[in-house]
Amino acid sequence: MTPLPSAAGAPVPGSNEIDDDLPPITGWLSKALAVVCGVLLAGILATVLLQVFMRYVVNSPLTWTDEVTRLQLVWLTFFGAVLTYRLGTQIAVDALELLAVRRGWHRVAGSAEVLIQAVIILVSLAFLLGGMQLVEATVDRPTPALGIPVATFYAAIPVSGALILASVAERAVKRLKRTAEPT
Amino acid sequence: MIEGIILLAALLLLILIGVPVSYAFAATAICYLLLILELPLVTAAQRAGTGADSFALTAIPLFLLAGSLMNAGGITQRLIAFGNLMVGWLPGGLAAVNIAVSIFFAGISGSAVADASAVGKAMIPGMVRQGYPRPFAAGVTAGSSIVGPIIPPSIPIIVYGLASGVPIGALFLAGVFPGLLFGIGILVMTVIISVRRSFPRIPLSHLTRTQVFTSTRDASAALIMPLIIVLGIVSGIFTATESAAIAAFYAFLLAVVVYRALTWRQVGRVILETAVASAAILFIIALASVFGWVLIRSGFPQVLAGSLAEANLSAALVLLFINIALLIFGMFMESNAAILIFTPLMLPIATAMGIDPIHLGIIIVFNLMIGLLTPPVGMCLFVTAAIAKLPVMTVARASMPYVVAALATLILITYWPPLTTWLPSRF
Repeated sequence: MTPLPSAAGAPVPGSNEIDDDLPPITGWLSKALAVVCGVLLAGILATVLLQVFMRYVVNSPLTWTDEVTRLQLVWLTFFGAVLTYRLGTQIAVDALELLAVRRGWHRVAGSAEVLIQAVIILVSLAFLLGGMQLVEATVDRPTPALGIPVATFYAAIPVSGALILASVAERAVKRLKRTAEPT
Repeated sequence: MIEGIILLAALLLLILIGVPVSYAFAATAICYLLLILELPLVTAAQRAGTGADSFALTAIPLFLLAGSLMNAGGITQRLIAFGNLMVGWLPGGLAAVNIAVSIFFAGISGSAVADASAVGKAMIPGMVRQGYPRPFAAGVTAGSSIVGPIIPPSIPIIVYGLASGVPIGALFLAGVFPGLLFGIGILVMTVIISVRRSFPRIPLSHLTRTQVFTSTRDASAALIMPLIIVLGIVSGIFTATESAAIAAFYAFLLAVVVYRALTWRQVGRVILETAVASAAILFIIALASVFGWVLIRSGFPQVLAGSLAEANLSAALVLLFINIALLIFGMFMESNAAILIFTPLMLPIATAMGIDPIHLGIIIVFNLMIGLLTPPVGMCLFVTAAIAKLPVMTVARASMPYVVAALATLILITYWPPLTTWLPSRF
């Protein structure tokens, strides 16, 4: 980093000191998902910039950039959902959990956790089953600009449902192993 | 009517138990869709898909990327140097700089949480080192961060634009004066607090002319970005999404080419982190839109608007109810999701009462930003508490003066419509 004029009283933090907004990404699936999400975001940026460039600089607007942007956004959303589940970075209210831990209400904490995972399983199942029907229904319908199947967009839904279910199972197996091992 | 209330109650219950907000939306919506509307499961999946499939929504990850690139590229340090030049000599100098940087950063980032995180990491350790109480340093960071999504660009305002159909350019303009009013208001308040608590005051005497010039030039390079964004959208040259892409590209140029603060590897890391962070928000928005669709199908918003219209209440009273409801829900709900739920509920009521949809938008967003400063779900409190290594409740207490100032601003926004509607009407 280039040195800055040290104005009076300016704080001098090493800006890389605390740079851990995300928990470390471990395991091949999470790493692969993270890379795919990054590539999709970079792709979105490139596509939208290309759209502006072609319209104003080259003066021949493209018809397909809108569709490609949306396609990448849909996959970013649903792949990202799998990754946020795996990293545990979803936005949730942990007030009950904290209270239960502090007061030692193990049964409350345990049943809340079971309910939370059950809701996630239910939603993922709906994604998987409903999403597969949706893909079947739209596989022969072409999109207006690119002419690819509309199902290319919707396929993100069952795929993410399946991956979240697999991740829930993986987490449950890990937890069982941990309780089985003597500490 | 009853079904609508059950739907909302079930959603709140699941969220309070600790179900991630996105899944709570999806679960209640899917149950309602299958059991009461008796629609097939494929409809739920399709609604989730269309919820994520929107060109306008793309502005969200792109604005987040612009903010992260600017921050990683060292712009925060340059804004601090500039803020120091402007207000660092006041009593409570660093606290005033903290607020000024939040206001500057508001023009770069569209998210209060990103603002709190960037400014907090750069300022809280320095403030503590200079002898400011740790809770105060965290409180002023959290309190001033909510100016971020009021001054354009703003992610919650984009979400309101999506939900209401109001042009995003007009909404961006509407936030300018309320944001500046709140920012300058808390700046004055903080200086008064600092005089009373005799916080350090450092005279700004030994700055050379070159230093003044460099820090002004560096900061200006970043601060013209909001002008490009807003003027580009308002004049119809760019859509909001395109302006977000241009902002991200500009931030990239500044960080990599002009300041040379980032290597390609680091740029990749920033893109990856932003992708993961924005996916969490996008997923909530996609699933909240399923819920919103189901809520409208339940007929609840229409019945609510109708009965409020029949009750013959004054617009002032209805606005008071809207504010109270939003403040309460804002304490529990993720703000973008709350906007998607409440806009379809409140827009028909507001229209019936003759309240400008632009005005309503700023009211909704400002209320929900106050919710970022209140437990149990106060995202800005969580972020600053983690940076300052303090319990969330300590930071919540320290932010109280700023919550009060925000409430005072909210009353002005609510009952003096020109504050929001005058600037958009000029274009």
